[in-house]
Parts: sequence; structure tokens; C-alpha cells
Amino acid sequence: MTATTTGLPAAEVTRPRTVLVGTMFASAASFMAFLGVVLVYISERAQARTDGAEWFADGAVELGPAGFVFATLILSIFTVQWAVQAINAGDRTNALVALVLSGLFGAAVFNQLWFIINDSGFALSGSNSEFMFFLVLGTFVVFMIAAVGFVTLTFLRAVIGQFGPRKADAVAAAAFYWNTVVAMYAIAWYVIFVTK
Amino acid sequence: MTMTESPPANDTASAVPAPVVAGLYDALTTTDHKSIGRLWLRAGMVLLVGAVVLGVLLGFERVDSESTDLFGGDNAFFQVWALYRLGLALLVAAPLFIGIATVVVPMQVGSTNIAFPRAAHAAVWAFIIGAGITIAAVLANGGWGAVDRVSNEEREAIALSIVGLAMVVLSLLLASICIATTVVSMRVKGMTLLRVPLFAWSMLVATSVWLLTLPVLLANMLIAYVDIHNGPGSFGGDLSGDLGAYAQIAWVVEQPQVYAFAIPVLGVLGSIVPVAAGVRAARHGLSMGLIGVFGLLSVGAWAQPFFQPTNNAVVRYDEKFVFIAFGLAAILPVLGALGGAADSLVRGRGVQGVPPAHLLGALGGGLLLLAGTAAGVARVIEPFELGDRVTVAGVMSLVLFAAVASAIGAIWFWSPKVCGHELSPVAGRGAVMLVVLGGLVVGASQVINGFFETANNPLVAPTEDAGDVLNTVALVGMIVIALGAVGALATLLNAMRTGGAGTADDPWGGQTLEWSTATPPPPGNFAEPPALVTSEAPLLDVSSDEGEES
Amino acid sequence: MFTTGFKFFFGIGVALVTAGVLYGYTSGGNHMGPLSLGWKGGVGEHLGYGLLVGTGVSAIGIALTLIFFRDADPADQADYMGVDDIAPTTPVTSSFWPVVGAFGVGTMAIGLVLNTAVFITGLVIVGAVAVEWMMDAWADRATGDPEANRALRNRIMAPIEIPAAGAAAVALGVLAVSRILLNTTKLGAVVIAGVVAVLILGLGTLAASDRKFNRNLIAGGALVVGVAVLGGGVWAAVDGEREFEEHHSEHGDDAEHSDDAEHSDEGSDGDHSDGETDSE
Repeated sequence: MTATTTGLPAAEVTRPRTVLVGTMFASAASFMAFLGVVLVYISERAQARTDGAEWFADGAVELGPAGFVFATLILSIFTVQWAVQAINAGDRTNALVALVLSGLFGAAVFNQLWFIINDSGFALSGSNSEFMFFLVLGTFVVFMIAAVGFVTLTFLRAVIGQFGPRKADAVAAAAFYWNTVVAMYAIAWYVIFVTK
Repeated sequence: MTMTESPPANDTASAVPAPVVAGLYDALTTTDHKSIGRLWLRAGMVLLVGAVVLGVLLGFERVDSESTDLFGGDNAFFQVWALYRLGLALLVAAPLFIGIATVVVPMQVGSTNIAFPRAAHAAVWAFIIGAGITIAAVLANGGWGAVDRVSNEEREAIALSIVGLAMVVLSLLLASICIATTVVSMRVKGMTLLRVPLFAWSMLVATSVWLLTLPVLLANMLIAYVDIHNGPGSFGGDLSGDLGAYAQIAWVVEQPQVYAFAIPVLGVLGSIVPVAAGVRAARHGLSMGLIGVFGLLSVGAWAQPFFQPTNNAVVRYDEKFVFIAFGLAAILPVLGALGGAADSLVRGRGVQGVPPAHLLGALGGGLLLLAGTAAGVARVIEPFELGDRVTVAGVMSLVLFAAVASAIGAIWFWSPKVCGHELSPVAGRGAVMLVVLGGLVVGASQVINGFFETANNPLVAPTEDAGDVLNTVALVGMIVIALGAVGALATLLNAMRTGGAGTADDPWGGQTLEWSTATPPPPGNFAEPPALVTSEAPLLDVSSDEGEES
Repeated sequence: MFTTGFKFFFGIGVALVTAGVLYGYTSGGNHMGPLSLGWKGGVGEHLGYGLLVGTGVSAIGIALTLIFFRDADPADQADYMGVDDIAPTTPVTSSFWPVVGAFGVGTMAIGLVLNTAVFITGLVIVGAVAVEWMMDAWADRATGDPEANRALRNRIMAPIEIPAAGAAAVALGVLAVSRILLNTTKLGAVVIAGVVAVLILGLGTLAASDRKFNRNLIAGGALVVGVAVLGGGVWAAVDGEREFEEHHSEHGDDAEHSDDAEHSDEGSDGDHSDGETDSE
């Protein structure tokens, strides 16, 4: 069997923005789920401090490695936006490079978070503070996996040539979700590692 | 003024329609929004009957808790009680409105399909599977906590209940994204967001509120689940005392969040009453605003008693200005929407003879919601001290049965598009009236019972004789609702299975685009793309154009 | 100017942030705390304050996104694409994958609580669905001819799907049937094996004939058989194997031998090893 598209009618023009609007709602929902966990962390910490108890022992949670994660994620914001810009300009090669870099930054984040969690020496069944530490970072990892998956899917679709100028909604949507997840980490970083 | 170019076929009957249910293959593979919506409706109606049967059994137990033990102990009673409450909101009210919206909203905005139809299809099956897991886990001695010590097997069943309900919530969120995206980005030419029909708008508001609040419920369930498995047991994971993990997620069926499941009631009211009255609704923008305000006042994820500080008695969320203001203000948009409906009825041609089922459902649902928000006003008035009383459940009953009555009315109204023909008007009137009457009896008796100091905790018996009497009254009301629910389910399933006599494409004189489709609507909905829309009631514009031309 | 969607979400956002600040001050917040997210003073009750403000900020985020592309109004969409009008269509063909995906998520949910292997199975199903879904979405929009789109999709995916699905079906079937055979009595195992063999032969013969079958019948039949085999396998696995006892045969070999075999195998030395022949 031979399948050729030469001479066949072009696909009907579909509505732009649809994927972007859906992603916008999904991002808002993801953000609220993450916020729900973080706010329980903050609430429990405030309760512990009001009771005069120690939340984390001195030196148990360090700012340095967490800052590297944040720096990596900030770099990734530039790469996902680079992908959007490139695809809008019809430059598929640059878009693919940018998407691969974004995915690699995501992998680096997993690696760094693994180090942070191991380095902390915390146990899930330990104190409330250790439990909430795991839960906040674990929730972030789940959303980060979703973001990396979204970027990977976008990369594969870009490889098979689904995107181009005025057909870049899915790339913009992936970037939107990625940036939302970076915002989540910014909150976790400030709440857990800066204010401890 | 020409509003649309092609007049709708108002009085033409399509050929005798075939049954709209195309079989198992269609149910498993469909990407047509109407088939997906029907799956939601069937699941929602079956679960409604299940929920009210549970309600009846719980009612028998509460009437005489000392000598009656239908469930085999306090643990099982508490688990079923929690399933009934959470189920009425998450397994019944939300799915029913999602089902109606999945069928109707794409047609209302002039689209050929829902946005992301495969995701919408995945959502309904995820819902069915999630609901099955939840119910099976509760039957296996699961639930969301226990009042006595539990075995390891029961801990697993409890964890499975939490995971099952999380899957249900995820499926509702996925369906919400599909519906909200359809309203925002799948509108036909000329239909700005200000011109979408009120039901579509109410679904945009409702799904937006669900998307902003139900993820917090997921966060609560995540915390409870991990705590049960590996945590320190401080977050409901010890499964005992203060209603276990249920205490952490109870906010979803309490004021103000419970109002979020009834937001579409106002949309149904605004869509059905003007059609029944045969008049264009006045002040469409104001009606949209009222629905939006009600949506704002139903944002309730923040009002979580479980995480209130325990060392400062002064700080309690339901004594604070914001909670009281939300409770007091929520009645205003409902009053406004009912006022708009009354205005339409007064200005219109009036209802000839016995009101149709859809009008009864729309008005009955609106009035029950008014009663629910009025009870909510009483609940926030501090001197009454109703915060821990069964009045909280009364508000829930009134609001959620308002949603059920409204949904049944909506199914009857849009039945030509949902089932391919009109449903029995007698069965519809009966079902709606029984649900409205029963809902009022159940809700009112619970609200009043709170004034006799009957606790919200089901394991605490009433302290006064009047409490027992009111529990009996509530049981009678629940039996009445069960009769209505069974009647509605039987009629709907039979209608979907058998098809029916030829029905006009637009039997009611509809005003919005769904009534310009054939009955039953074909794949793609519209034989020709709808023409330029320039108002919120495009079919009325066509009628007026025809009048001018002749 | 300001679009309807922007006004709605921005209004909700501002109202919720305002409510959050009020809640903060009335629940113990002080100084500039509720106004500065706790930077200069206390915010009061953290969870309520944070969720009100957070929900408000999310709503404002939606508002700003919506106004960026004018509520995705049809006119704006057409303008963006440089055409007069774009019909609100979604060319999507029917597919089993959404149901399979939902089933995969359900499997993950059950596995999360009960068994890691079940969880991983669900994860694999969801992963496979993601790939299939992506290919379907691509094929739906490849050209304007649905037949050509289907051919394109099948040309790429069929060489992967058919062997993979066949291998999975055979593996699952063998695993499930083996559990059933191990669970039942020896005679029952023989009967079941015979029935399965006859069913396979009969269905194969029917499939090879030119007769057309109602696809609902095929879907329903496949569902019933699949659920029966898998359900039976799971039930049998949970229930456990029938009892086997260590047995030394007259030939000096160690062999497993079932209880019930003792009654039926009398007088036949060669049959003493039957107990293990129907295993695995």
C-alpha cells in the first residue's frame, strides 16, 4: 500500500487558541492544587511556632542547592520562550534545540531535587515538618513530570512537522504550563528554603 | 434588522428518530459530544438513585439509632454517611450538569463538537471507573475515616476510597476544562462572550469555580492518603477522632463551597423561563453578572475547619466577617435571578394549563436554591450558633436537591436534543415535583432541627424529642425524593433505549442555536454553519426578521 | 477595550484578593501583613488567607491571559489566522484510546494502594495511550481526506500496534488462563482447556469466513470474554492454587502431584506426573 498526500485537500483550518485556553484552565487548576499543599505546610509551621516548637533543626534545610534548582528553572523559562519564538518565526531547528534544552533542564531539576531530599535525611513518617517537606516537594515533582511530558510531546509533534507560523498554539501552551510550574517552585523555594 | 441569515425550522418535525443510543461500540469509541453527555447523564442518574437509597437507609438509622443497626456498627454507618454526602455533590450534582452541558453547550455556542472530545470521553469513563472504585472501597469497609480502631485491610480500603474519589475529582476537572474551553474558544461567528446563552455562561462560571477550588480538595486528599500510608498520623491519617480524614474534606459539601454545585441552577432558570414565557429575557448582561457574583460567593476552599489553629480560640473562620458576608450575600443573586424569571413570566404569554416539567424544574430548583441560601443566612448569624449543628446538612440538602431538580427539568427541556424526542410530560412533572417537595422537606427539617441543638455529627443522637420527630420528617422527605429519582431514571433510560415518536426540532419555541438543529441532532450538529449571531437570542431575531419581511 | 471574559475573571480575582486581605486582618493579621503577603506583619489565619488570595491571583492570571487574545473571540481567531471566518470544528475520529486511558488511570489508582506491579501496569497503559493519542491527533489533521488520514495513521502505527497488542493479549490470556487452570481441579482444568481451545478454533473460523458481524456484537463479545478471562484470572490468583503435595514417583523423580489426581490417576504410573503438566 502506498499512502501519499500529494493532491489531497488540505485539512480544515481549526480554531487557534483552543489548546492554549485549555492549558490556561489546567494550569490554574494545577496551581491551586499545589497551593493547597503549600498552604497546609505554612499553616502547620505557624501552628508549631505558636506552640513554641522547632520546625526544622538548624542546618537541616540548606538554601544553596535549592537555589541551584531555582536558577536552572529560570534558565528553562528562556529556553521554552525561545522555542515559542522560533516556531512562530518558522525556524523549526531552533525550536527543536530549545525544546530539547528545556527537557534537559527538567531532568537536571529532578536530579537536584533527588540530592536535596536525600541530603535532608528526613523521613516521611517523621515529624509534621518532615512530612510536609516531602509532600510539598513531591507535589512539585508530579507537576514537573507533567510539564516535562508536555514539552516532550510538543517536541515529538514538532519533529513530525505539526507546527509553524500561526500554528504554534501547542508550543505556547507547553511554555505556559512550564512557566506555571516554575512559579510553583518559586513559591516552594521561598516558603521552604528561604523562610524555612 | 437581519440578525441571522437562515431561519430555523421552528415547527418542522424530523422523520421518526431512531434510538439515540448507538450501542456499546459507540459508548466505547465515540467522540461525539452528545453520546459523551448521555454517558454522563446515565451515570449521574443511576448514582442519584443510589445516593437517595443510601439517604433513606441513613434516615431509618437516625430515626432510632439506639435500636436500629442497618449498617453493622458505627464505623460502617459513618462511612456510608460520608459517602452519601460527598456522593450527592461529586457523584450526582456535578456529573448531571456536566452531562447536560456536554450535550447542549456546544450546540448553544454553534460548535460542531465539544473542545477536546477525546479528553471529554476519557473523563466520563474515568468518572465511572473512579466512582466504581470509591463505592467498592466503601463497601469493603473503607470510607474516609473511622470512629473506632480499624484493621490493616480496612486502612487499605480507606486509602482506596480516597484514591477513588481523587479519580472522580480529576475526571470532573478534565470535563470542566473541556466545557469551559468550548464556551471560550469554540463560539460561532458573532457570538461574543457577552452573547452566550445563560446556561452556557453559568457552566463557564461553574466550571471555572470548580477548577479553582476542587484542586484544593485533591490536595487535602493527597495529604490524607500519604498520611494514612506513611505519615505521622496528624492529618487525618490516624483515622479516628473528629471523623478521621473526612473532617479534612468536609468543606466541599458545606457552605459556601456547596453553592458551587448549584451555579448552573441559575443558568437553567435563565434559559428555560423566557422560552416558556415566550419572551426575550430582559437585561441579559445583568443576569450574567448575577450568575458571576453567585460563582464568586461560592468559592469556599478557604473555609476549612480542619486546619484552623487550635491554640487560639478567637480565630475561627466561620465567625469572621468574610464568611458571614459571603453567607449573607449569596442569597442576593439568587433573588435577582428569580426576579428576572418572574419578570419574564409577567411580560410573557403566560403559562397555559399545567406547567411543563422543565418549567417546574427550573422554578422549583431556583426556589429550593433560594431556600438553601436563606438557610445559609441563618447559619452565619452568630447568635443562632448553628455551625456544628445539623443545619449545615440542611443547607447542603436544599442546595444539592435544588441542583438535582433543576437538572431533571433541564433534561426534560433539552430532551429532544439529548434523547431524540420529548420525554413523558407526566413523568417529568411527577419526578420534578417529588424531588422539589422531598428536598424541601428534608432540608427544612434539618435546618429547623439545628435550632433544637441536634448535632451535625451523625453519631450524636438528638438531645430533644423534637429532634427525633424532625428526623422522621426528613426520612419521609427522603423517601419522596427516592420515588422521584427512580421515576426520572426509568423514564430517561427507557427513552434513550427505545427512541420515540417524531418530535419537532424546536417544540418549545427556543431562542438559542441548539434549537436550530434537527431532532435528534446529526453528527456535527448543524446541516449548515450557523450564520452571523448578533444577540444572545439569535432565533428570536430570525422570527422578528420574518415578521418584518412579511 | 476590556473583554467580557477579562472583566469576569478580573472582577472575581480582585474581589477574592480583597476578601483575603479582610479575612487576614479579621483573623489576627496585623500591620501591613495581609497587604504584603506577610512581608511586614502577620497575615492572620494562614490557610484561609492564602487560599482566598491564591484563588484571586489565579483568576487574575486567567483574566490577563484571556485579554491577551481577546477572549478567543471568533473574530480575533479569524484575524489571527488571516481568514474571514473559521468554523468551530474539531475533526476527531472515534477511538478506543480514551477508554483505555481511563482504564489505565483506574489501574494506577488501584495499584497505588494495593500493589506496585499493578501500578506500573497502569503506568505502561497510560504511556501507550499517550503515544497513540498523539498519533491519532496528528492523523486527524494530516489532510482534508479522512480516508487518507486513516491510511496514513495505520501505515505508521499498525506495524507497532498489531505485534504489541497481539503479544500483550497472548501474555495476559496465557497468564490469566494458567491461573484459572491452577486454581481449579484437575478435571476442571481439562474441561476449561478444552473449551478455550474450541472457542479459539470457532472464533478463528468465524473470523476467517466472509460473514459480516455487527460491531456492537464484536465489541460486546470481546468485552465479555476479556472481562471473564482477566476477572477469572485475578480471582483465581487471589484465591490461590489448588494444593500440591511433594511426591516421589516410582521412577525416582521428584514431582508435584495434586490431591484430586490421586483419585483419578489410579492404575496409571505415567499419569502421576500430570500434576505439573498443567501448571504454568
